Amino acid sequence: MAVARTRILGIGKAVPDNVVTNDALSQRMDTSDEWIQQRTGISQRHHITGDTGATDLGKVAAEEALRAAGLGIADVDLIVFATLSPDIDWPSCACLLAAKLGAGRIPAFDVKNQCSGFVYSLASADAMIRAGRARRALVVGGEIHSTGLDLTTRGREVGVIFGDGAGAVVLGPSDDDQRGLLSTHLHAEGKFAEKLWLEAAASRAKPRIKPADLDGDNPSAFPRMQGKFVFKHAVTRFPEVIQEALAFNGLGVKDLDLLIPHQANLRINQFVAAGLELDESKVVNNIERFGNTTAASIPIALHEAVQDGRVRDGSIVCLAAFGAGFTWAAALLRW
Amino acid sequence: MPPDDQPRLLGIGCHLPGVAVGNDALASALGVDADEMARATGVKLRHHAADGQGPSDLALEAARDALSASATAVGDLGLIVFATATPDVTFPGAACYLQDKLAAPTVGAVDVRAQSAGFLCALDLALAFAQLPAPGGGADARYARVLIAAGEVLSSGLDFSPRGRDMTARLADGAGAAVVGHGDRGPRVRSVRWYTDGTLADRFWCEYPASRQYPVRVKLQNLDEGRHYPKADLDALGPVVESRLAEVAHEVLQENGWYAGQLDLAIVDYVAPDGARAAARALGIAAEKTVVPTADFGHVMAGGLLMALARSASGLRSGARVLLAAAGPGLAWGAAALEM
Repeated sequence: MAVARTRILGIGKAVPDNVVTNDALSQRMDTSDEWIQQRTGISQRHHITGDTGATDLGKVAAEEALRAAGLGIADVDLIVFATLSPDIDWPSCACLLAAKLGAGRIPAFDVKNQCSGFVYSLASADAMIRAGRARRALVVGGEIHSTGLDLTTRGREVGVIFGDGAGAVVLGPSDDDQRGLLSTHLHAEGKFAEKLWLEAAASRAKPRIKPADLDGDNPSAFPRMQGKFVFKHAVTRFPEVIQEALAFNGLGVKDLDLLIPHQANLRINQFVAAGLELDESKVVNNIERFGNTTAASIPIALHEAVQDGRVRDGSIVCLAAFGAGFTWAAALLRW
Repeated sequence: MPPDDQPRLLGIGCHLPGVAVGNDALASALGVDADEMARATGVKLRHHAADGQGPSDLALEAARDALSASATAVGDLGLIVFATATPDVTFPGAACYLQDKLAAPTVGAVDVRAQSAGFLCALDLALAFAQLPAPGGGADARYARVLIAAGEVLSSGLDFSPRGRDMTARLADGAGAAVVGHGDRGPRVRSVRWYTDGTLADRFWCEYPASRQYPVRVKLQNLDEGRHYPKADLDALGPVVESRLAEVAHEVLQENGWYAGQLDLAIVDYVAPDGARAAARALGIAAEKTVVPTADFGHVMAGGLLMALARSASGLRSGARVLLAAAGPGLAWGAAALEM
């Protein structure tokens, strides 16, 4: 049966125990706490210390989300997993997570949309539920970046930014059609695909991965970024999509109680808040402690905001993301 | 939902790259006899993309056909969903590349990964968006036209040595595309059902690069050992796949009150053509009404069903009943019922 509106019924998060400070990175590469903080606002991130997949963190986050919702895995009939760093090449993390949770036979798929992967996944699950094609969905964002970063001086521009983590929500029908997910807004501009990207393994190359991809001056098996170019587009697209989401619902910036932006760079988020004339108290930033966890950043930040009481019943909350693709997206919720 | 309100595949397209690669062309590299290879795999031929061609390049050709068949301007697209397990690069996804190549507007573009159920997954999602209600009533006009692309370039990740003969003879490249929306032409999508069972994930998989491997997701040793090539235990999977395919096909037939004997066409896609045919037989579908994509152009995981549908659709009368069913890595499997 189709439903009028969906709502987040429970939320969870998980990060590895191991904290890697900027000072610890300075031991491995030519960088400094001051350099990293000034450019990104990051002072530490979490990295795994042994074989661990995005689905291992995702499982912990998903179990917390289910507990918070008062539901079991049997109450879920769809899993959407957002990641750009899957446990294995294929099949999907969603399949692996379903097995770890004992989900039985259900539809489960991965969304690969980088920094906006969680918002795209939330939009997908919302559409499936509202169209009556699913009843309740587990939506997970999870990444293990640390095994795919060049943590030497050669890779420092990108290597210092990313952290491992996962966040999960249970999405289901809202019993109050005024509350829940109000709308979602999805965008992309593939013209800039190679401004922030990870080339190898690349199916378009024969072979898709080879020893030379792992080494050399600029190895293609590590992510590469034109930071200034990305920054410039981020600070344009973020406010654009936030305004689009508000306008779609007949609301304005003054109605916004809390903005939960993707955590890519503190300077981007400060710039966006200033441009929107949004008080910093209405913007959630935790990149200082987690780095950029890509698809996991928004559910982790939302989890903290809920726990800290910054999200209250009736709050108008905007989740917004911009990143590789380029892709960008927003979701507006009345909590 | 009344049939007239059901979204349709308004236009579809298929693209196979380059020239056909016959069994003769592969046999010596794989250390087998060509006839023996044809008998063992049931694959007549396959196509391989050129160096530099990714799934977005193959899908571009298919998408142009789908747009033209549906009289859809690229500017009218509201969302691009690309089902693939083998994107052009690791990230961003093939959908972003396709969007650029089509010169589509800055609408959403997203890759979904459901392996051989990829098209069914993308279709499920496209239908959900196409059916979304607008806040003020009616359908959400933003998603009036959704482009689905489904395809793979698997050949660049295959082992062209005797070690790889099981998979290399069977897996192949290609892409299909479909424009989904409300309209008065193209097959109606009567139902879609698909499932996964991750407990069987390591029976048919491509393990590396593997982000779970500490401290580096792909090492020279992994490449030396060939663990970045697909592997499958087809003997173990065969009976499971045949029964899952038959179950899910039965489910979509039953939802529509159809029985197997009424079908005009059944497209059944699995990496082993014999398994696909066995599932069709178990359902009571006649051999001459069964199309097995893997036999015709190798197993293109996400792409096979849509590609085979595009190749067969012109021969079907209006009102014809078509069953699609596929299974593959995950395990992921599913079926759809279409009315032409």
